[in-house]
Amino acid sequence: MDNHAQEFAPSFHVERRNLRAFGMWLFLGSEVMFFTGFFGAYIVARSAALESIVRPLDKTLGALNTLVLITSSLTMVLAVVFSRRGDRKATGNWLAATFLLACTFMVIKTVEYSAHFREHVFPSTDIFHGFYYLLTGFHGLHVLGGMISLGILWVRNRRGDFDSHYNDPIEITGLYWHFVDLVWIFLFPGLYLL
Amino acid sequence: MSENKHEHGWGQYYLVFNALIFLTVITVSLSYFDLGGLLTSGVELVRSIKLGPVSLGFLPDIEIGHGANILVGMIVAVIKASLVLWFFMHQREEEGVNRLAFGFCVALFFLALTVFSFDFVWLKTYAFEELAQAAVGGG
Repeated sequence: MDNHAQEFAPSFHVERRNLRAFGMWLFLGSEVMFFTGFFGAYIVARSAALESIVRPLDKTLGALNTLVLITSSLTMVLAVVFSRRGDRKATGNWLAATFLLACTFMVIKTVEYSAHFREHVFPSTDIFHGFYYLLTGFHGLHVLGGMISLGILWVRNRRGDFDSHYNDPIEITGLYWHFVDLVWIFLFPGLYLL
Repeated sequence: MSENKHEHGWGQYYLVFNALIFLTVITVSLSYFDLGGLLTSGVELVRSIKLGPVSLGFLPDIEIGHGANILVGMIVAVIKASLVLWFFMHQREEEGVNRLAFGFCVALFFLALTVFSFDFVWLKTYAFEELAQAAVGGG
């Protein structure tokens, strides 16, 4: 990709980057709509019930997962920053750190889910757990998708696909990953705390 | 991602990260308190204070119960989300249509939340009383 640098004026790279980012922002906008539907249904279900439908969840594990995701957002943004500088090694390391934190999130989520299953708590148990599995399940799928992207990015970065003129995939995957964090920021208080 | 891509140091990202951690600790701690109850008794306390002719006895009862927790929790979540959006997602470097595309959907999200939240007021205080009365009357 090094020849990109000589072939095109700097404004070209910015244009192309902005176009790709626009595509990702549009996609994330549709993702906002996607989660708004479920979150809205949760609000309506809660407000329509005469008694509180909320069942307690493990706040400690939820808070731990919040910290993991926030930290992974930091490592992701550092990966983006170093990829802009063309520092391949640091980029790879921060991508790996993000990937590992995503794994940690999924492990903690699995611990939570298996504890529920042991107590025979399933989506059909009550309406709260129906929403709990729906929201955290779709969020977990998003984390999984992010992990696949991060893995591909790490390999491509190692292969030398990216430099300071071309790091679009890292930039837009960063946007996606922060969005996954964004969703959790609302899910955690909505389900675990309030 | 504007024309002149500023080189941001790590500093600001660590600052935002620390703010996010701090806000998480705040929101988890607050969930152990009954903010609605505190608000109600706080208002009562303020009302009972009399400094000569000056008093705040006209303040009405405020009993929003668990709604206070929900309100504060959501406000903290919105602050956290804004920090992530503005700094981590570099929305502050975006311009034009890249801001609009996402901003519009976020605006719709809050519109939806507002509309759904009317259910809290409507269904709780109105529809179910009517339903209950209808059930009692019809029974």
